[in-house]
Amino acid sequence: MSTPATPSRLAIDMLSAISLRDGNRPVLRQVSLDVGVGEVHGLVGESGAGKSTIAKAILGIVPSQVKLTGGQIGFEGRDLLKLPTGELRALLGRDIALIPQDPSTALNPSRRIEAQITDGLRLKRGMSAKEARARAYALLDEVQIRDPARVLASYPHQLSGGMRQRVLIAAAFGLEPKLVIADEPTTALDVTVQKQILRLIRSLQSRHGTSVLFVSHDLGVVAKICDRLTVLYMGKVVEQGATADVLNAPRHAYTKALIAANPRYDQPDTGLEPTPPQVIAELRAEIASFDAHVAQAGAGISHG
Amino acid sequence: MAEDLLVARDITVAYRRPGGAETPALHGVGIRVGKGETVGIVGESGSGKTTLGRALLGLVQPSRGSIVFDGSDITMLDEAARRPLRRRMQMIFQDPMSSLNPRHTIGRILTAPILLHGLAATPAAALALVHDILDRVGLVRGTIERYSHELSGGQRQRVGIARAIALRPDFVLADEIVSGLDVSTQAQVLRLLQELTREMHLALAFISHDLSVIRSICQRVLVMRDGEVVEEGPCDRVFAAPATAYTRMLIDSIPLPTVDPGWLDAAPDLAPAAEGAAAART
Repeated sequence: MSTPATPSRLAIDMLSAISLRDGNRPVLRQVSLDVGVGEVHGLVGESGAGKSTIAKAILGIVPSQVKLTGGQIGFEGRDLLKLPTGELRALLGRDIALIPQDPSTALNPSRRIEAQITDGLRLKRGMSAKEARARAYALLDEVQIRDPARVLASYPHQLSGGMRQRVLIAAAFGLEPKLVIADEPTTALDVTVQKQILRLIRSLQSRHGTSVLFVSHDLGVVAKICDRLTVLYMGKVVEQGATADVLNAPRHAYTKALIAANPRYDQPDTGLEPTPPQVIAELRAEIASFDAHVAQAGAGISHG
Repeated sequence: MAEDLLVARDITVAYRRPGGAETPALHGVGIRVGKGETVGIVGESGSGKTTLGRALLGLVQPSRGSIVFDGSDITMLDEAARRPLRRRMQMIFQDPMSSLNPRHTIGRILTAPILLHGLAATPAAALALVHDILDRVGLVRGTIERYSHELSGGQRQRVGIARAIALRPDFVLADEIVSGLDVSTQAQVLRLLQELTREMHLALAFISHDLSVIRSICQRVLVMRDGEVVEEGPCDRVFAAPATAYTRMLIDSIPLPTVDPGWLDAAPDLAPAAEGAAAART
C-alpha cells in the first residue's frame, strides 16, 4: 500500500466481504486504502469490482446479501464497523456525506429543495429555521446557482440533472463534513455539465480541506480530479498510487489494459482494444491463489 | 465518397404537448449516410439526436422535409408500404434489457424476424442462420436457450446486434448502444460493429453523447445542438480543427485519461445555456 502525503482521515484496512446470495463468493478481498486529509482518492474498476460495496460499507448501508467478514474502516481513529448504530447515524451527514450517482432519484420528489437542504442543517448542525434558510441560500450561491431563491422554492422535477446534482453537492458540503463519498456523481450528466460539476467538487473540497473518496468507472474523470487512485478488480486491489504514476506508468497489466481500452478523441483507432484474455486469465489465477491462501490461513483460526 | 444510401433533408419534427402547443424537436436537419459508411451523431441531452434517428426510421413523422432511401422517397410511406423497408433498415437500442422480450428465449427472439421476413423457409433453416450469426457476434450457440435477464450487459448488446444484422440490412441505426458498458466490453462491441460494417458493407448511423466513442468507429460526424446541426464533417477534420465554438467546447469537456492540472479550471469557450434553460422548464 502506498503512503499518503498527508495524515490519513479514512483508513480502510483489510476489508473483506462475501456475497451470501452467491455461494459465499468473496466480493471484497482484504482491501486496504487510505484517504488523506484534503485528498481526493479515486476508487476505480469495472462493474462488479466492489467499488460501491466499499462506499456502502463506509456508510453502513451494505445490502443484506453482502456480509462483511473482516477488516476495519478507520475514520478519525475509530472503527466505523464497531460503532453503535446511533453513533454512526450521528456521524453520517455531519462528518461523512454522500454525493449520490443519480440526482433524479436522490431527492424527495414531493418536497421543495429548501426543505431538503435545511433538514440536515437543523438536525445535524442545530440551526434554527431562519439560520438554516440563510445558510441554504448561501450554499446554493456557493455551488454557483444563479438564482438561489427560485431553486430553493422549486421541486426536484423542475430542475435539470446538472442543477439537481449541484443541489446535492450543496447539501453534502453544507454540513462541512470531513469526508465526502462521491459515488459516480457525474455518470448521468452531459460532458459539459460533468466538467462544471467536477470543477465544483474540486474547488469546494480544496477550500474546505475535505477528503473525498471518488468512486468511478471512468479513468478520464478520475485523471482530472483525483490525487491518488486505487484500481479494483473482483474486489481485490490491483494497483494503488499517485494518479500520475498509475496512469503514466501502470505496473499491473490489467491497469494497462484498462487504460488502453479507453477511446480517445485525440487519437484515431483507439477504444477498440478489449482487455486481452490472457491478462484476465492471469488476474483470475492470482485471485484464485489469493483465495486459496486466505482459506488455508483461515482454516487454523476459529471465527468468533 | 460512397454512393448515397440515406439522404434526409430539412427534417422538422415537433412534438405536440397536452394542451395543443407544439414543442419543436428538430429544425430543418439534414444528414447523408453513404453505402457502407459509419456516421456519428453526437449531442447533449435534448439536442434532438434520438428524434433524428427515429425520424430516419419512420418512427416519428416529420412535419417538413424529405427522406430518401436508396433512391426512393420514404418520407410519407404508410405502414404497409414501409414493411419491405423494415428488413433493410434496422435498429440497435440503448438498453438491450428493455428491448428484448423477457419472456422469450434468445432463440425465439432471433428466429422470429428471420421467418417473418422470409429469409428462411423453415424453423430449422432459421435456426441454422441464427447459429451462424451467434458465431459471428461471439456468443456461444447455447445462448438460444437463455433469457435476456440471464445474460450480461455485453452479451445482451451482442444479441441486439445479432438481431439487427440477422435480416441482412443495408442500414442500421445504433442509439447510445455502449453507454452503460464497461470500457473493455465497450471496446469489444465497438470492434464487432466496425468489423460487421466492413464485412457486410453496412451503413451505420451511430448516435452517442461520447465524442471519443464516435472517433473510434465513425468516418464522419454530425454535431447537434437544440434540434439543429451545428457542424458536420469527416472525423479527422472535426476533431483536429472544429469549425464552431460549440464543437470545440464539447471536445474540451471530454476528460482524457491523462493528468492535466490545468484542465479543470480551463473555462469552456461557451457558457452552456442549455442547463439554465432546462432548469426553467415546467
